[in-house]
Amino acid sequence: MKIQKYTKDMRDDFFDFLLPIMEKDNMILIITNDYGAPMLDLIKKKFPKRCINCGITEQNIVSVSAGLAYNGYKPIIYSISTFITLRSFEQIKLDISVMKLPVVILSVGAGYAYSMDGPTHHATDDIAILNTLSNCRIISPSENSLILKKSIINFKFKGLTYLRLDRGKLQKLSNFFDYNSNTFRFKKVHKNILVISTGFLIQEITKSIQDSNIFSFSLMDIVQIKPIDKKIITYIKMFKKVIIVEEHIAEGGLFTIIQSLLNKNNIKSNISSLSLLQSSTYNYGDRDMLHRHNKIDIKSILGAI
Amino acid sequence: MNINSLKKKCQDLRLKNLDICYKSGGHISTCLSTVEILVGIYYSRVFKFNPKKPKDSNRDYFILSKGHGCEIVYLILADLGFYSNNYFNNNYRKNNFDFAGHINSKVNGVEFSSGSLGHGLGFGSGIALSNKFKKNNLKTIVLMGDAECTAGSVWEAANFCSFNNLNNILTVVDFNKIGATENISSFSDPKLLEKKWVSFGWNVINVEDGNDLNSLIKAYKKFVNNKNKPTVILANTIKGKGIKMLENDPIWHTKQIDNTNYEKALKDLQNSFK
Repeated sequence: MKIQKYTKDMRDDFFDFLLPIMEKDNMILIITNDYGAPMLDLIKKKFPKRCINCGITEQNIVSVSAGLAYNGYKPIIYSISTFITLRSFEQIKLDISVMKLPVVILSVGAGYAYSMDGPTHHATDDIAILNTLSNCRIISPSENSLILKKSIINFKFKGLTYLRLDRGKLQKLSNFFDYNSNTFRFKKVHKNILVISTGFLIQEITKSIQDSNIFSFSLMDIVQIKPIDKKIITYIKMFKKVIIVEEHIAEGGLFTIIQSLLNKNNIKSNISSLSLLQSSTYNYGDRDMLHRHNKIDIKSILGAI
Repeated sequence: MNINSLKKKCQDLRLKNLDICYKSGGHISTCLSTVEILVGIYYSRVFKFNPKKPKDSNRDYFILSKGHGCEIVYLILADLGFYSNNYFNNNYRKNNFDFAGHINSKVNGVEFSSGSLGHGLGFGSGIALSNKFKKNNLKTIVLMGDAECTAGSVWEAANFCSFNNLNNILTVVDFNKIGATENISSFSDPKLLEKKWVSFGWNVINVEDGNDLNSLIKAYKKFVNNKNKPTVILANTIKGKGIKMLENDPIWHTKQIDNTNYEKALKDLQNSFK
C-alpha cells in the first residue's frame, strides 16, 4: 500500500479549513497564549481584531473565553496542550464546564509530540484530568482529515471541546480502516487480537503494518475519547485479547475510560494496558526513545501480542 | 430613590441578611460590608437590568466574583422582583434548589457562578470585550474582595482589561482589609493595592468610606463618564458593618449567628440605625 502524507501540519490544515468559515461567521474568535502557526498568521492578517494574543495567561484566557461565549461569541483557544489544560484546569471546570459554555480548545502537543522539549511540554496526563469533567468532549485525531469537520466547530456542544493535535506531516489513513465514524475507526484483520489506540500511536502502528505487511492484530482508532462511543463494546466483544496502547499515563487515560465502560456494561474482557510507566514518564529524549523506555514502541506492542 | 430611601433600603437589607444567616447560615460579615456598594449599583440607576427578562440583551452585567457574599445579592434580586422574597427565604441553602451558599448562575439575575476566588474579573473581561465588539454601551461591573486581589489570575485579567482599553468594565474592590482568617496585612501590604491597580493601567477611584452611599454613587458616575481606561473603585469598607459585635473581627467570616448571639446582633443592628 502506497503511503501518502499530508502536506501540512494538522493545525495548519485546521486553520486552512477555518478561514472560510470565519469569513462567513464573524462570531468566531481565536485566543492564544503567544502561540503561533503559519496558517494562523494568514488568518491574523485577514482578521487582526479576531485573533487575540493574551500572552502567557492561561487562566485568564479560559475565563475570558468563557465570558465571550456567554455573550454569544465562539472562542477557539489555541495553545500547547499541557499549558492550557494543567495550568488553567479550575477555570476550565468552573467557567466552562459548570457554566455549560461552548468553548473549543485547539491544542497542539499530544503526548510526547514535543518530545525533545521535555516534561514541561509533554501532555501525558491531560486526558486524565479532563476526563473528570462533565460537559466536556475530548477529540484525539490520528490524522488531519478527522478534525476538518464543521461539526467540531459548530459550537452546539455546551461545554468544552478539547482537540488534542499532533505535530509534523502525518500520513493519510482514511483508506486503511474498514469502518469509519466520527468517534472511532476499525480494521479487522486478526480474529482474536485487537489493539486499541489513539492519536499519534495509530500513525506508528499503521506505518509499521504497512512497512512490514504483517497483520498480527486488528486495530481500533479511538477518535473521540470522551464521551466514549458505546458502540466499541460490540467490536471489543469479538476478540479474545484486547491491548490498549497509549502515549499517556494509564490512570485516567484511554485504558481507564474503556475499562470503566466495560465494567459499567458488565462486559468481561481480557484487556491489558501498554501506557506510560511512572518511572519513565518525565524522561527527556526523542519520541522513539521515550516510546522504547515506556514500552509502548512497536516492538513492545508485538511482544505483548 | 433619594439618598434617605437608599439608606433605609440598606437598613432593611441588613436586617433581612441577619435573619436569613441566622436561620440558614452564610457569610454574614462579608455581605454586610458590601450592602452600600450593591445598593448603589442596583438602586441608583447607574446599572440597567430587567427583572422580568433577566437575560435582556440590553442589560448591564453584574458579576459577583467573591461568591461567598451571595446572600445580600440574593436578597437584592428578590427585592427587585427577579423572584419573590418568600421563594428565596423558603429555598435558600435547601437541597435541590439553586440558592447555594456560593452564588449560583441558575438563579434569575445571576450571571456567573463563583466561589473559588479570582475568576470573576476574567469572565467579566470576556463579556466586556464582547460588548466592545458589539459596539454597544453596556457595562460590566465586577465585585471582588481585597484578599482576592492576591490571586495571580486577577492580575492576568487586570492586564488584559487595560491593554484592550476596556473602559466599559468597572471593578469594585470590597476593601475591608480582612481575609477569611485574619487581616490582609498578615499576607499582603494593603497600602500597595492602589499602586498595583495604577501600575496595571487602571483608572483608580479611592472611596475613603466604602459604606457611604453618596461617595459610591459619585464614583459610579465617574466610571460612566470615563472614556479611556477600565476603572476600579477601592471601597474602604468595614467588614460586618452595622453589627458592632461583628465589625472588623476576622472570626465572623465563617462564624455563624446562633441563638446565643442573635439577639445581641439584632440590637446592635437596630442601634446602628439610630
